[in-house]
Amino acid sequence: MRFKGPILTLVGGLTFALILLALNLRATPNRPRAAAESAAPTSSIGTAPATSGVSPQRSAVSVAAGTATYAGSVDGGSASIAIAVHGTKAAAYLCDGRRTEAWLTGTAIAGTLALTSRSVGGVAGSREGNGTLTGTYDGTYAAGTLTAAGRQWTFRVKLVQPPSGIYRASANVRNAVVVGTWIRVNGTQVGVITTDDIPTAAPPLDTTTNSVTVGGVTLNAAPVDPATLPG
Amino acid sequence: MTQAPFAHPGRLLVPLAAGAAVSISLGVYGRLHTPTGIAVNLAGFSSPQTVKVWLATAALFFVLLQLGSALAMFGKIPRVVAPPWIGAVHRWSGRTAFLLAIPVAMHCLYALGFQSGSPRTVLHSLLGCLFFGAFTVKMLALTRRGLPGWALPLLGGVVFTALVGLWLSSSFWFFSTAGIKF
Repeated sequence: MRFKGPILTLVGGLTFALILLALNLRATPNRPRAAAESAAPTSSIGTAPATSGVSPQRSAVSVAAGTATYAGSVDGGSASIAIAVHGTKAAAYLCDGRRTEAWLTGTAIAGTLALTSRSVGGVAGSREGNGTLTGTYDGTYAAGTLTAAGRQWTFRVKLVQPPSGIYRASANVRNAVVVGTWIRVNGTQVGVITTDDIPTAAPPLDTTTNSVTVGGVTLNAAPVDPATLPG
Repeated sequence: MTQAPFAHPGRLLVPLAAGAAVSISLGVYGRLHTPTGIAVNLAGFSSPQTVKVWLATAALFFVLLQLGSALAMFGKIPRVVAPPWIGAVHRWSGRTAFLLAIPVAMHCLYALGFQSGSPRTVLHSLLGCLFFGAFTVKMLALTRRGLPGWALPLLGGVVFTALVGLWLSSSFWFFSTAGIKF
C-alpha cells in the first residue's frame, strides 16, 4: 500500500454518513399512525395557539369539524402555505399574496402527505404544471417539499386552530370565472384572486362574514374541507 | 502493490467501478426512499436550508483551496515553488470539504430525495451522485501505482467541478433568491 490516508478518509466519511443516517432513522417517527388520529388532533396539544388578534365575533362559517390545518411561511419566507387534512384526504394551497399560487389535492395516510396539482397559477408564467407536494405530518407539524412549475419550496409549518385555515370562493362575475383563495393564520390573511386565470392580490376577507367585495360583486368564501372536494 | 513498469489506464478500473457503485447507490436510494421532509440537522441556524447553504459554502472554500494547492503541486502556477507543506494543505482541505459535504448530502438524500421537478433540481441531484462517486474514485486512485499522468488531475477536476456545480445549483441559488441569511 502506498497511502493509507485516502482509504481512511473514505472510511471516515462513510462512518460519519452512517451515524447521521442512524440519527435520522431514530428521529423519524416510524410507527404508522391511524389516519384518523393524525387528521383530527385532539385538544390536548399544548402548543395550540391562542386566537388572539382575531375578531372576537365568531365566524359565520366555522371550519368544518374534523379538518386539521397546518399553516405558516415556507422556508425562506417567500410564500405562505396551508395544508388541510380530513380523514385520508388533503388539500394544500401556496401563495405569495401577489400572483404566485398553487393548489394541490391528494392523500394524507399514516403520516405521509402526497398531493398533486390540478392547476398551477401564476408560477413562472405557467398555467398548467405537474405540481407535487410530498411530506409528513403529525399532531403538531407538517413538513415537506412543494414543487410546481419549475419552482420548489420547503416548509415546516404548525398545526393551527380554527378560524385559521384555507378559505375558498368562486363565482361568475360578468362571464368571468373568479376564484379566490385565502390562507388565514392566527389573525393574518394572505390570498390571491384569479379572474379567468389571471392572478391578482386578494383583498382580505371580512373575518365575520368570510366575504369580500371584488368589482362590485360579493364573494362568499368557505373553509376548505378536503373530504368534500371533488377528486 | 506490485511494481508497474508502464502506466496503464486499466489500473483505474477498480476505482471507477467502486465510484460508479457509490453514485448509483446514492441515486437509487434518493429515488426510492420516500422523502421525509425533515432530518437531523445542526442547531443555531434559522432553518435546515440555511445550515446546508453555509456548510456547502464552507466546503466550496476548501475546494477552492484544493484547486490552488493542486495547481501549485503540479507546478502550474508561474513563479511559485510549491512549499513542502502544500501536500498536507491539499490533503486536509480535501478531507474537510468532504466531511462538510456529508451532512448536507445526508439531509438532501433523506429529507428531499432525488428531485426532478426543475432543471436546477435535476442537475443538483445528478451532481450530488457524481460528486461522491468521483470522490471515491479519486481516493482509491491515490492508493494505486502506475496510473497515467492525466488520471489524478482529471479525477480531481471532476470532483472540483461537481462540487462547484452543486454549490451553484443550491447555495448560490438560495442566496440569489432568498438573500443572504443565517
